[in-house]
Amino acid sequence: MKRFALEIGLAGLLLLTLAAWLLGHNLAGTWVVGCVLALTFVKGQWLIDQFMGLRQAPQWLRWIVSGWLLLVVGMTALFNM
Amino acid sequence: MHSPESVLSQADSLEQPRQLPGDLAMWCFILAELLAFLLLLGSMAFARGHWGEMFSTGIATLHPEAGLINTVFLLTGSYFAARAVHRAQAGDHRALVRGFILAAACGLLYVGVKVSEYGMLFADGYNLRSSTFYFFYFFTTFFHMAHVLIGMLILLVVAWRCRQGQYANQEKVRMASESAASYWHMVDLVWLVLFPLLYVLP
Repeated sequence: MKRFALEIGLAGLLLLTLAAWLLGHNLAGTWVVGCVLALTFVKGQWLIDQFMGLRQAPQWLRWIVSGWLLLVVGMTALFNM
Repeated sequence: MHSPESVLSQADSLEQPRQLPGDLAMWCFILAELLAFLLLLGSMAFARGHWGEMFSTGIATLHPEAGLINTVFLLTGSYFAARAVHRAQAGDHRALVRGFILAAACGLLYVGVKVSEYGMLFADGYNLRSSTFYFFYFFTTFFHMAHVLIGMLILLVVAWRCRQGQYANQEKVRMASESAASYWHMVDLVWLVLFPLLYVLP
């Protein structure tokens, strides 16, 4: 693993959290829901790949966990957009 | 006849076998937990869309800053756990103990904020039976918080056993630390989806 990769990962996740927060609390509309959920998916996938380390794990496991994330975010989008 | 250099070069170019992070039994447990949360979060997303006005009114009574602070705590905890696992792979067991204790401390801060938020809501007269929104809010967040507590316990048990030298070899340390950290990351992953549903989405 590259030096400071985890620190960069944490900073990225915190920045995306703040971006989603500012977006959701200052703007409204269907596109905001879409953007916040897209950011949620990116954050989740980042956590899965880097912190969980599933990028180096057997592919079936990565697909299951990423599929779970896609399904939950997709259902939220389906019912709330 | 191959030179030693060419053999080494070929060996380097071979792809490393993909390894499960932690124990298979732990992953079966994690996937079962994710299935339970899938049903819960899916139902909540449906209810949020179906009773939009009730959810908007309920969400307005929550404390959004508490949600943001708790996200920072859980992400930071995940970072400490991931860093501890990487250090342990390099043989630094003291860093593993320290990292897992710090991750568990982040979990404790999360629980503190969550309990104080519950306290404020109870003081305002809201509880599990107030409405469908509060049922989902209290049930889902309490269920999640219970998993945070289980995750903290797993991290602390692995840290304690590692400190006592109870793992026979480096492979046992790897399996235990990766299993504990994977569970902790799962708890964090669930929160990343719960957070926008309750505190961010307009």
